[in-house]
Amino acid sequence: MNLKIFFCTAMLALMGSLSPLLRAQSQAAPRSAPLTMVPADYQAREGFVDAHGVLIY
Amino acid sequence: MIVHGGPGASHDYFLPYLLPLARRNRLIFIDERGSGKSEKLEDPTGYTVENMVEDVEAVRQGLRLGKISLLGHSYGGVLAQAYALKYQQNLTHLLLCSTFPSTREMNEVFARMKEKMAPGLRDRINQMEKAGLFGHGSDYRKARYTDEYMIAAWGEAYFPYIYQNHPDANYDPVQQGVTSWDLYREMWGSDGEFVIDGNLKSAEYLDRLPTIKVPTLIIAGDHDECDPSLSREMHEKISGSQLVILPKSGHMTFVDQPALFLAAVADFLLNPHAEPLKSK
Repeated sequence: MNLKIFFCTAMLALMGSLSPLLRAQSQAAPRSAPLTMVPADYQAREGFVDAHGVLIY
Repeated sequence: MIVHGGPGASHDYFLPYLLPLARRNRLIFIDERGSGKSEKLEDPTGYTVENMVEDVEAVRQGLRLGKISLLGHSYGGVLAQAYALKYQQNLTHLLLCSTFPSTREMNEVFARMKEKMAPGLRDRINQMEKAGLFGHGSDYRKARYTDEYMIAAWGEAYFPYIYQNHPDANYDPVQQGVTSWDLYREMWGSDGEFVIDGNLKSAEYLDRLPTIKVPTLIIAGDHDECDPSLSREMHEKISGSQLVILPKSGHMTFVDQPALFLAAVADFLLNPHAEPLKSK
């Protein structure tokens, strides 16, 4: 069987050209922020992993 | 890694509620086999907790994650327990949210829920269950509950156990019926919402929970469909675990009490051995 399992990763952009200020704002986790506020430099990536652990984007 | 409930729902219902956790964590949502965007099986007997445990492990290995924190909500919490019982060496944290350790005890909760129902509603539900829940209406509808049963069971009977503080104004019991029905019937069963008699009835973990040594956080709502007594029992069985019962909260704790939910999870991930601030 070669079943494909869907995954979606959500993370901050730890690398790249985002300014340190933007990154600091994203990581500050303000408790008073909107409850479902998506971090400013949030990235999502989707793909599949099959039963043999093969990544398929 | 985050695993969803249903069984047969998808990761979508976590969004956007859990995304603030991405400030400090890499979140990986998956759709379990047969659910959401993951592949479906020709033969539904392959929809088992044990097979889904191997799928979680395949994703962990495929993405080269090393040790992970595993959060399971509702049925996903059953899956997370099963994963921990087999692969706890791969876990740094275990988070069991609005879930149950024993299908037998969950069925007792459902029986009590039914006893507390308004008699008229209970009679209607019993009548529909007695007549058989599938095979009604046009051909395209035969493989799922009727709208009438979805509304009675999920819309009326379950609702106070799903939402309390912050009901989703868009909650629609018929829309909730957009699920993987072949999977659902295989795992949950075909006899309705108040008894699990599919292959999920094999989920009886109480005796083995004491073998879990991974830092564990257990969260439930005080009005949770998965009654808080089940969470207390898991807390007693898992040494060193933390228990958080959220006030004015049903099964969708992260919708009813998003700030408290996120704080409990974030604090636990940072310091799994500290006493939770909101437990009672």
